[in-house]
Parts: sequence; C-alpha cells; structure tokens
Amino acid sequence: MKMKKRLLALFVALTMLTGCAANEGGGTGGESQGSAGAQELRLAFAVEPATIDPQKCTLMGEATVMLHMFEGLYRLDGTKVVPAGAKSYEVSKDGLTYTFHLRDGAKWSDGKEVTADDFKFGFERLVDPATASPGAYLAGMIKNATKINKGEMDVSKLGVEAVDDKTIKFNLEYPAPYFPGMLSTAAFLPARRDLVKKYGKEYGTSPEKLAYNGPFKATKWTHGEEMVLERNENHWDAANVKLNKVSIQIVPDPSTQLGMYENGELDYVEVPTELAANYPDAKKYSTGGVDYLQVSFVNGKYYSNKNFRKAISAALDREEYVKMAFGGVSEPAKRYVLPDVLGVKGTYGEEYPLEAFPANAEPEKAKEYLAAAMKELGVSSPGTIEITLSTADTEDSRKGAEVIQEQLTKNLGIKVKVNQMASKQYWANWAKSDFEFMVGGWTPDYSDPRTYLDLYISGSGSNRGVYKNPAYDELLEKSNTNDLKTRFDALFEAEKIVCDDLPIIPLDVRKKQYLINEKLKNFQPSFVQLNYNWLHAEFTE
Amino acid sequence: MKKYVIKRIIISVITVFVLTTVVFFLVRLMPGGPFTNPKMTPEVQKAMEAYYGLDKPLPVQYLTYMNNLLHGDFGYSMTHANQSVNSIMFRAFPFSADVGIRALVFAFSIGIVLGIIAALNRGKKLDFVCVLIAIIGTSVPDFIIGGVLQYFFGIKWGLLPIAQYKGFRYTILPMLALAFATLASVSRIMRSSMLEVINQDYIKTAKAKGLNDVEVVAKHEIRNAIMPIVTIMGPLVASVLTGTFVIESIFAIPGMGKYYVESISSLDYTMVLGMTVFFGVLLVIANTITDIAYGMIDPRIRVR
Repeated sequence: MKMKKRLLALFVALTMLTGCAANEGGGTGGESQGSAGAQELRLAFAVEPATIDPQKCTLMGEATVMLHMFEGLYRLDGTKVVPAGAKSYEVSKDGLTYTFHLRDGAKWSDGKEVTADDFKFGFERLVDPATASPGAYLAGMIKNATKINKGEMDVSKLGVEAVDDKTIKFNLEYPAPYFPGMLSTAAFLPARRDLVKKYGKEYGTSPEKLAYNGPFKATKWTHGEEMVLERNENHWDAANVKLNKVSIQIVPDPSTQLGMYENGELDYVEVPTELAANYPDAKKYSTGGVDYLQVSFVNGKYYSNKNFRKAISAALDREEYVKMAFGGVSEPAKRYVLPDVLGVKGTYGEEYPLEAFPANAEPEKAKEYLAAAMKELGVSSPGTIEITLSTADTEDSRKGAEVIQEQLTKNLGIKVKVNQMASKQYWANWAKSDFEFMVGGWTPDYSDPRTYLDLYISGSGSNRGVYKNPAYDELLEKSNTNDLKTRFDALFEAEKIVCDDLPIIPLDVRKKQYLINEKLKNFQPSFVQLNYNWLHAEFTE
Repeated sequence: MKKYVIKRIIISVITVFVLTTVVFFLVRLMPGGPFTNPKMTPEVQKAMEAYYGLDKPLPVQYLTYMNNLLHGDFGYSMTHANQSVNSIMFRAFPFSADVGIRALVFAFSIGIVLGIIAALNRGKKLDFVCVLIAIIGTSVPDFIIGGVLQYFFGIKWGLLPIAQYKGFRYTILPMLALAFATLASVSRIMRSSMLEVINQDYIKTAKAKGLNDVEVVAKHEIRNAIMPIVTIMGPLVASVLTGTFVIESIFAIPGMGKYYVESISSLDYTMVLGMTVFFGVLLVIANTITDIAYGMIDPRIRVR
C-alpha cells in the first residue's frame, strides 16, 4: 500500500527529528510488562486467523496458532522431528507402511481420551472433497488421497487405518521418508468426529466450538481484535510448558505494531524492511521463502534457450537486488533449496553445500552466454531483443522488478519492459501457464528439499513454466526410496540441475528482522509450517 | 408530500437492486477468482469452487444470490472460512459506527463553531486561526494526522494508547484523526455561508427592527447559513459510519474499512457484494432522508 509506505516514511522522519530511538519513551502504555511472574506472551498479528479449524488452514498465522493448540503425531522442534501425539513409529521395509503408537493418557481439553480415530478422521476430513480443504494436496503421498479429493473414490478407501485406540497405520503411494516430519503440518492435525457433527459449519469459528489436544487452548477470540490462548492443563506435557497465557492482538499496520512494541505493549515485533536501517542490531530469521525469476518453456521465443537463461542469471547482481528491494534484510540466493531443511542426519545445507550463484553480477560471462544464445537463435544484435517481466501490483514487487530491469538492460544491452498487474490476475495467468517471464516465489510446506524440487517434475500441477527434463524426473523418481543417503544424493543432483539448467532463476532467500523482549527465552521464529514456536518459551528474570 | 416520499423510496429500492446486479456481474469479470493462489492445485481449487457453488452457471448463481438477499442472507465469506458475511458485518459495523459517530459529532459541532467565529471576525486574528485549521485539515491526509497523533500522544508523551479499541481512552486519537478533514470542510462551508447571509437584506431588516446582536446571529444568520451543512451531512454520515480503511488500519480498529479493501483484492465475491449492498443501502437511506428533509424545509423542491 502506497499510503502505508508514506506513513512509514513519516515515522522515520519523526524518529530522526525528535531523536527518539527505540525504547526511549517505553513503558508508558499502561500495560503490564512481560515478566517471569505473569509468563504472558504478547504478540501482534497483521492478519487475523480466519479459522482455528486445522483442515481449513490457509495462512501461516493460522497454522501458528493451530500448531500450539493441537498436536499432530510428530512435531518439528527447530530442525528436529520429535514425537508429539505419537510416542514412536515403525516403518515397513519397503517404506510404504507407517505404524504410529499414540501416547497413553493424552487427553483433549474437554477430558476425552485422544484416540487413533481422531487422527484418522482428521485425514479423512482433509481429503474429502466435501470439506473443500485448501491443504488437501499435502496428503498426496497417502494411498488414494488424490483420487478421493478428485471425487473418483470414496473417502473410506483412504490409506489410513485405526488398528486400535492407540495405533494408527498409514499406507503410502510411494516411499516418503519425510512423512513423519510432514505430520507436523497444520492440515494433518486431528479432528473430533463428534464435535464436527455437532457444530457443522460453525466448527472452529469460536473457541468453545472445538476441543484442543495441544499444549495451549483458545479461551477468548474477539474477531478483529484479539485471540487469547492459555495453557491446556489437560495436555500430557503441561508441566514443561512455562507460558501461562499468549495474547495475540490484531494490528494490521506494521508501523503501529512497532510503535506498540516500543511502548512496551508487545514482546516481539517484526521490523518493516523500510525501517531496517534504523535497527541494525535486530535479529534476523529466514521465512523459508525463495524468490526467483520464472520463465516459460512454451511461450516467448528466447526463454527455452539455455544460454539465454544463463545470460540472465549472470547479469543479475543479487546483492544489489536485495539491498534495493528488501533494504538488505533478505539474502542473495546462492542455491535453490533452503539449506535449513532436514538432511540425512543434520541439515541438508551442511551435508550438501552448494554455491551456484555469486552475489554480484558477472557482466563478461553474461555477454558470452548472450552471444552464444543469439547465435543459436539467429538474432543479430542484443538491442533487438525485447522481453517483458510480469509482476504483481504491490509496491515491493514494483521496486524489485525495476531493479532487475535496470540490471538486465545494463549488463546485457537488451530491452526489458515491466508489466504490473493485479495480484489475482497475475496468479491466474500463472495458473494457466499464460506468461513468458515473471517474478515468482515459493514457501516450503514441509522441511525437505522435495517441497522445492517437486515443482519442476514434468506434468506436476505447480510446473506452470512447463519445464520438461527426463533426467530431472528420473532423479526425483530415484529419490522415492527409504535409503536416505541414496535419496538425498539424488535430490542434490536434481537441485544442481535446477541451478544449471535454470527452469527458474533464483534471486533471494527471504529474511525478516525482529525485535524481542530480552527476558523472553526459547521463542523460535521458524522457516516452515508456522511463523514462530513458543512451545518452550519462557520469561526469565 | 406523501406522493413525494413514496416516489423517493421506490427510486431507492430500484437503485439498490441495480447496484447489486451490476456489481454481481462486474466482480465476476475480473481475472482470477477467490481461490487463485500459487499453492492451489487444480483439484483442490475445483473442490473449493464446488463448495461455494461457483461451479454452477452464472445466471443460476445470480438468482440464488438474489433470492438469499431477499431473505437477508448475504452468504458465506470465501476467504474467512466458515464465517458468514452477515456475522462479519454484524460485529464490524458497530466499531465503525462508534468511531464514526464520535468523529461526526465532534467535527460538526467544532466545525460549525469555528466557521461562525471566523465569519464574525472576518479579517481579524481569530479568522486567520480558523482558516489555518481548515487549510491543514483539508490538505493533510488523515493517515499523516493519525501517525502524528500516535507518535506524540502515544509514544512520545505516553498519554493515550497508540492503537486498538478497548475503552474510552482508545477512542480519542482515531476520533480526532477521522474528524479533522470533516471538521475543516464544515468550518469552511459554514464560514462562507455565514458571510453570504450576513450581507442579505433580511439581516439588515432584522437589525433595523432593533434586535440585539445575539438574536440576529442565532435566529437569522445561523439558521439560514446552516442549510449547506445539511446538504453534505447525508453522504458524509454514510461514508463515515461504514468505516475508513486507513484510520481503522493505523489504529487497529476491527471495523468494516479493511473488509472493503481486502475483499476486492482477494476477490471474495460474497464479501464484495455484501459490503457494496450494505454501503449502498446506507447511502441511499441517507440521501433519501436528505431529500425528504429538503422537501419539508423548502416546498419548491417537491415540485421538481
């Protein structure tokens, strides 16, 4: 929003004018300060969770509250997958059958025992087309899930079986060693058959029309104003949860949030990129998002030429791009897959290091690639090449596209036009593969390289650039194995193909800057599945 | 008079009907849909469209919508899962109306007084001050005023809460920010209208027949000068009551303002329609009341 930008500028100006730095006039808002005694965490969300029904989850903010109020079979703790609703699991030799053993004595907030059927029902509800769950696609690896969601098969045929009250068995379409890690996704949280039946469409629209099996429960939800979570004393691990209360205020304007933080009304706030320079000491975390230039292999005459794509990549100065478009908060992309995702034992990035893209432009190399491309395409001068970069109509997108336009024009001598359009139209064109060259991006659904790499499999639903590479498809097919070393080796080879053949041209890895109450410990911003994890957070003196 | 009122009401009903129909079809012409986003696979999108009845032919959807509308049912929001448009409007409108009424009362009372003072002290210091306030109010946008108020009263001096709407103390800053522009235009209109009236013959007559100054101002000048204020009141009331996106966003007030903007950019069809109909009805009611009020005050208008 243009107006918000101006408001931010005003805040900066006022801050400079009156010389008031962070925290100077703090603590005058009349609110209680975060302290070890109260153990109350105060947060602000820009967008209110529309629902607390996990099978209706679409936004990260919703997933954030849901993953604290409910508990899946497993949970992601930083970069580790830890038991949660389940205490252990076995996997068959072929990697196609997973059997989970539920924790004894786990209870819902209303006192009912958590059973295998609650989980089974959650999965059925997720893939049932009658639910119209936006997250249904995530269950694709479970046997028959896709067919059921298309309406071709009855929901009773889903590969999930409640063996007894405390045992649940999954049959998969293909081996997926990341399955336990994926179970920590909000869409895979359990649901109560009796309550869904009782409340129908109202299920999950207010705190009492739901029951909770997670460490927290919603106790108050004033739409548009605030949501309050309190510790769920019925939770099996309640003794290890230190926070008594989490209050989430709905504050749409980022500079208002910042003002509230400086006034001591919040314990955590994200700094808008425009103000990043004022907070050099703010900490950073990766949101998991990657931005890239996406080309079409079926539209436009230049993009299917590999040398042309390589010329564009070499002409990009990613460091400058990040500085101009994100105030230097994000980082230049060195590779495609986020290094923080899970690997064989530790993280993928440590086990498979890769630096495919330099931070700065390589104009000489870029011109060489362009010359080769022109020869192959039969083009005589770079000046006759004109390409159009499509982008959404937000202020950030415009800024970013203009930086790219300038870099490509300068380093390649080609003509670049920028075409801004309403974001819905932009994504509608993308979905129809009706684009040539656009700024795109992806956020991970689970902690595994496949959440990024699946996008370029021939015929995959998200492969809108219509990239086709049999060698790539084969590597991803090869990664469908339970042997982790073989699997990750194959995925790494696939990532190298992306970085060399460039179905997309990576730009940056998104980061955010945040300020946090010094007394608040173990509050983890996260790159996947939820924005931050406060499960083990506590205030210390 | 009765005929006139009935005619106005019939025209109002037709206006709302046409408005709804036009918006219903126009919003469908926009590219993309409520479920267009990069994470949506074609199968999931289909299932969601079927869930909201978007898979049916457009004329059928239109008839269904109009039928529901006649029963006061605006349908379910497509982006706020499982929440009905009625419930969203029902909870958001009181906030917008509350801050709006406060702002209107403040703006009109102070604005009229300032206008009168300025007119009575034409060319003097007091006039200058009033005109200056009017100029600032007209030329500085409300989000700047909001930001400045927040900064000084909230952060710098810590006198009032920066944002949210949880009690009387919370209402003051958004009220001031919202009222400022209206206050400015009211005072300007009042001032020029007063100046016009002051030179009229009937004022001379009133003075000539020996009325004292207070009586002349109160009974003759203000009563006649206030007519143009009545004119702008109708539309202003409707627009202020239904909330303003910027002020509600800056002050984190859970009113209707953000739903207007949000529902259009997210193509939440039912919300767009619900908001349009609601705002349309309010505007039409306000205009109709203004028209009728005119008719009562000035018989010549009834004839036209």
